Amino acid sequence: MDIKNFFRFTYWIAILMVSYIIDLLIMANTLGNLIVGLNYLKFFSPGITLVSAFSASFILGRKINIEKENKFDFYLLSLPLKRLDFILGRALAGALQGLVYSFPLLITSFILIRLPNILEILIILFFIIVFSLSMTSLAIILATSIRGSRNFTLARSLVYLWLMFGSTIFYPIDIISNYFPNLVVYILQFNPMSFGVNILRSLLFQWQIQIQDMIGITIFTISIIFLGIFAYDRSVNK
Amino acid sequence: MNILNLRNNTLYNILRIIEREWKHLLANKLYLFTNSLSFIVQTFIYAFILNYLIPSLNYMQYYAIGMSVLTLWSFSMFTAWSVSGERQSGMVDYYLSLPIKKSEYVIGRMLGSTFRNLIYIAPFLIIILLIVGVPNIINLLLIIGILVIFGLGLSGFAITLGSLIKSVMVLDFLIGIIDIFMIRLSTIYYPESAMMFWMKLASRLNPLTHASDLLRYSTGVQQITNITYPVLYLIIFSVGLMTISLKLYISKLEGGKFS
Repeated sequence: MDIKNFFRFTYWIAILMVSYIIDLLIMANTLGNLIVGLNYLKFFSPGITLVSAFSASFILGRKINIEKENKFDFYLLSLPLKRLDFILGRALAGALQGLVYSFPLLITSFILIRLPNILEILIILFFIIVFSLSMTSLAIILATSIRGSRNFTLARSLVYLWLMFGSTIFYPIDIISNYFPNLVVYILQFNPMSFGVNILRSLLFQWQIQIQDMIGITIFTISIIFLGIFAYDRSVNK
Repeated sequence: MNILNLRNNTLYNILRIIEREWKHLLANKLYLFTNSLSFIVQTFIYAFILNYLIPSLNYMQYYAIGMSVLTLWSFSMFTAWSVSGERQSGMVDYYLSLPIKKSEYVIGRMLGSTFRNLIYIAPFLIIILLIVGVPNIINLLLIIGILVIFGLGLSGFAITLGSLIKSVMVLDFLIGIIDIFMIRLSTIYYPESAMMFWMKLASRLNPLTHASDLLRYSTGVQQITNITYPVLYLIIFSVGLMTISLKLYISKLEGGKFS
């Protein structure tokens, strides 16, 4: 149901996909001509891939928020499904949306950086699904805890600003640490988007995955999925 | 002139429409807040950090001015949705029943939209001018002049789009596509020296480039060899779009195509 709904807005999906691809191929490429000591186009491509997964996951959050406002969730709960199956189904739909949405950017990243082998591709796809699942859970928490689509939009914007500009999507941490105090470096690193993008970069560039990124994304994903299920369950029990 | 005559005055009618646009802005506080926050975060975090990676220019100053032009552009597009939305909600019938001439209504909307957008970006611009500085009063007047001319042109562009397109979904799509290319193929985020040749050509024809470059020139962030071309380009762009939007909006109102 959620996947079908997602593809109903193909024109909007197309615009956002084109927008992200243009951001990568035109914006990052042009900025790369100014940035010294780094191939910015290659550096930025894993980041924008995860940003697109985040955007798709939050589309489901917005939908859940609207359903709650319109009391449509009562109808959904009357369907012959277990509560947990229903919630997990929705979360997985968000994760799949994230994967589908990030796919063109992932292919572009493969072309720009390197073509991984089959096993690496499977690991990357699994990783994007897990990352999207965590972002969908985060969206579900916001959608079910916040009343009104305007307030949800505000919360989404705040989360977006934190994940985008308070992470290592745009900035290489090794160069940043030369200019900024440790506190700034810790703040940029302690961000679920940083954990995710650092791991994806490591997989694509064949760098060693940092243990703190693995621990960070694992703790974040497990806790946010449980919190998401709890928040959705509590919301529909009210 | 007594109060009764004043109420039949063209200027009074236009002022009422401007007031309406202003109230419309205040009713969207959330949009204002998120845009302001985004502006501050992008300028003082993103551009500040990137400044250390780009030794060839003061990127924070460069980006801040680009962002103020971008904010003016984004906010002007709000008018397109507003004009298009009125067609779907049937509000136009109500407006046509008011004791105001159609031309007064359209001019009022255009001026009101421009005034509203300029008021909105004023706090950002003041912060930027405090950081970057303005060499003299002539440059400050040049900045105000550029923003007013460009703002009028953008309002005209938004009214033209809103008048031409009935479906909000199509309008969303079109503005999305225009946004993608207009912004990326301009000097809002990066100078032309960093662009590929075909991008430079597109950028030369882009009003966002000329508005950004003139503001940077006026604040001393960037040098331009000849300011006549960008100034003339912006004037032609704005006058052209204002004329088109006036004629188009009035003809649509008179033709009853809004219903």
